[in-house]
Amino acid sequence: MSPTPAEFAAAAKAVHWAGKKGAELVEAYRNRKIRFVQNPETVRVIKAARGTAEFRALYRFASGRQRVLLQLGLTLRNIADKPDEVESLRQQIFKNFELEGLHLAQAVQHGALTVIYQTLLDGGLTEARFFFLMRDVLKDVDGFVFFVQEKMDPKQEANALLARLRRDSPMVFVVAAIGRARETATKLMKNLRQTALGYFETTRSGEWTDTYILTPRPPTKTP
Amino acid sequence: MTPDLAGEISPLPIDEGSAETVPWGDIPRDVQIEIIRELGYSVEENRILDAAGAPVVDKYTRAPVRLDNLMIVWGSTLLLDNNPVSIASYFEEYGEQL
Repeated sequence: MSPTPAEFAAAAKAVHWAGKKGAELVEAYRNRKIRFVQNPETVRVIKAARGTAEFRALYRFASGRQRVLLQLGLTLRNIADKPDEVESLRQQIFKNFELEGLHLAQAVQHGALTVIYQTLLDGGLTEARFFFLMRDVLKDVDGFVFFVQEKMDPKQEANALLARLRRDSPMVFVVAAIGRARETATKLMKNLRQTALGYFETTRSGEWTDTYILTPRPPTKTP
Repeated sequence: MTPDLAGEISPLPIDEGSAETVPWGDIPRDVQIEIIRELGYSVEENRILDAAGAPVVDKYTRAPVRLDNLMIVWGSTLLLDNNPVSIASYFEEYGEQL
């Protein structure tokens, strides 16, 4: 594909600057006329993530490193067709933010966090309650999202999940599966349905993700 | 307690600016070294050293900054190695000045 006029102009400017001497470039940098970037594509992908309505909707509930992880989660989603880059970024996230940070980024990548946002928004909560709950979700994403792994034992995990739901009674809980883990998730949910779960289940399927959204059943009214 | 919602929502700083982005890789190596020296650093093989001779590490990831993986961005002449963690962290601290 031919470069657009804007791309052509940018390339011409880059060539102009690339021909300058070091001192001239430093002066231009100090005067904030230029900046140096190794790989503009990485910057572009992250800026694109920051520009999404999804990022902005979640951003207001996040603070500190959570805001960085929101960007990285959306970036993971945007580079999903480049497995090597995904793996490299996952490792960087783990190295810098540990497992807890990786789980938050994964929940964003999968869309689970946004599903929780939509579900809570639909729950008729006051703004203050909604705000507090979203802050809780970002603070402890593992309390609201469970990622199924391909090699998990569906029956064993269903029992563990049931115990968790009964203990914590979250207002919303997402069982998430990506790729080959979707088959395991199907079996896990089948096991879970055979119990007195006390939760409604809504299912959403994407091209490479399955999402099971669990919301508490209202208590049965006795006449 | 009612949360101070207005106080909780931080502005999303966006400063596209009018500055141009110069691809670091398009600059000849000798000019790259000249720029680094002008900024008060030195180059040893591929490593960037500060004025005291200590290796410069990325502010956010603590990874060593090399001549072939750096970005030079505003905010105390930061030298960031080029990875999404650093860029996302930089945007959060300084706004979108890239």
